[in-house]
Amino acid sequence: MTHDRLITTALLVLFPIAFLAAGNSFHESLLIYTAINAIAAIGLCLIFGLAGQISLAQAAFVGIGAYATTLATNRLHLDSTLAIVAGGLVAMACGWLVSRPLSRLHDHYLAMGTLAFGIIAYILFANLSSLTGGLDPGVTIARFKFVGNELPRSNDLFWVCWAFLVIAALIGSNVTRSKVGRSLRAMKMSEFAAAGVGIDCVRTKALVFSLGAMLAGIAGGLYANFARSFNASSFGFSYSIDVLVMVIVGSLQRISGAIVGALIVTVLPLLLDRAEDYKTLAFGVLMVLVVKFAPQGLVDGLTQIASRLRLQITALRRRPAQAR
Amino acid sequence: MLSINGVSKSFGGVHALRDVRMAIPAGVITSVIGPNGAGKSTLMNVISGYATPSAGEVHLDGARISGLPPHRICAMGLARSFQNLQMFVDMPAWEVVATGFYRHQRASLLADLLNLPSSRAEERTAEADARKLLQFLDLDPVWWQRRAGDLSYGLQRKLEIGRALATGPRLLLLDEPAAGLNTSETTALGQLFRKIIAMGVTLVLVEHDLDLVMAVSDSIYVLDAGTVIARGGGEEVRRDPLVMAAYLGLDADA
Repeated sequence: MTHDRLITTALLVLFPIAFLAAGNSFHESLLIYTAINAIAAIGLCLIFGLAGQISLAQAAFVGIGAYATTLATNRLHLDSTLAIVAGGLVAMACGWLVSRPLSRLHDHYLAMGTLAFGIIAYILFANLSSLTGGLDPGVTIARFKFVGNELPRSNDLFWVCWAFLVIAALIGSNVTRSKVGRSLRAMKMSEFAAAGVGIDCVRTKALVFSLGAMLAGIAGGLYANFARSFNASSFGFSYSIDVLVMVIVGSLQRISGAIVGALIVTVLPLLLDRAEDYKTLAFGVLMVLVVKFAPQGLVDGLTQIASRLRLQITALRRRPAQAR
Repeated sequence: MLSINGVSKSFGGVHALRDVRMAIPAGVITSVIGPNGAGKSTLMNVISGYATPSAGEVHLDGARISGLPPHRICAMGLARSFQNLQMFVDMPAWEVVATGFYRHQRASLLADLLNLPSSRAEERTAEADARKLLQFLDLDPVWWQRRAGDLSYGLQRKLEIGRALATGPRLLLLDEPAAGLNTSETTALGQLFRKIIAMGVTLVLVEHDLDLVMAVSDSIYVLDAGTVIARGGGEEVRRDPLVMAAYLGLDADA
């Protein structure tokens, strides 16, 4: 994808600048949530955007990561950062397991399959109270410590989230431009032909589901550490939809799109704070507009407009020369 | 090289193939012809692993391939093109060909995820090899960076052959490669077949264009209603009363 690395890098550089310029704790926390959501969205960008496998289970993997991180921190007394990585690995293992039965499903059947998994996971989160604390009272994770040291301010967790986001974006964009990404895109366009050139579609799907689930799990671990007290309701179906909206609004195929989408979906509801009832309406309208006018997502739409403008400008510059 | 031993395939009560036997030698062009509904495409699908035979076996150089999934058969050295284009439309043309190198690329998943030098070197090799293959196909370089879906039908067919060749097959199955091509494109295709044979790849064609088949084939099998009704050289097959009956609807006894 043209310019994707450039746009992604620019966004990743802007993040800490925005954080340092934010000025108040509320805006800082928005950026932290944006970074967390962006990591989960990059995971879905690989699964859905790149490989064409629709997944409505991203919230389940975020939840698995959040609970695994919490258990690893509270009960195993693992270092916080390691616990987040462990949460990612647990989610990855779950992603791999889930992908096996799902690999035979396509399109809306796959959507239904992943939706079902998401709902089952949610019910387990809500009812396995001994592990998860269920819906009430939920669970509280021990305070984040970076190599044994507490952070000066809880919002300084931003730097941890940002570092994980940078790693997620790097992995994501390396996947897109390697042979793995090529095999994923091939599979999206024709599973038939992909198998014909020797791509093992079952294995490839397992791989992309695991990768996407790992990123979701890391997002979950970060969420647990930032929210500190949370319950199962954070990982319901509506969060899966939110992540899907991030990817569709931002860009189906670009890592930068996942970040832009995460920013929009995280910040927009708070801009509409006074009109909470209209939040869903605003999202609906946004989705319709994006699908209608920039079906590949906002980032692609904008880069297309930019390249069209550039063409027109060069055409305008040439015209006087031709007139003579 | 490829032996088809008594392959039958039925869909419910319909017998698409009945006890088909073929022995396809290495280094030549073998064609399979037959009227619509003769079972040619089913045969292609059985050979390449997209369908499993109800009875019988397919062997490639002595190794049984029937029952294996397509990607495994591809790994054993059998590649194919598709009758209805199965193009990776959103990729640039060169990359469509590069997908064929996938099974030869050895950089580890970790190397790919971390963009290590081994992964990058491999990508550079893949790009260079794709270029060589595109030159071999005589595809004008102006198309190389274009979106594959924007190429003309004829060029997409060519790209499909390139993609299949990139997998490094010993045997290449082409399912109606001349369908929808104009006369000059078909002539060029015949020349391309000769070049492919010269590379040491065995060709099996399933084709409707009888002129092309007669011009390029070393041997021909005629399929009708799921059975082989004739085999041999071009003239032999053309004069066969059963073939005439199948194609022209004449009574074989007349």
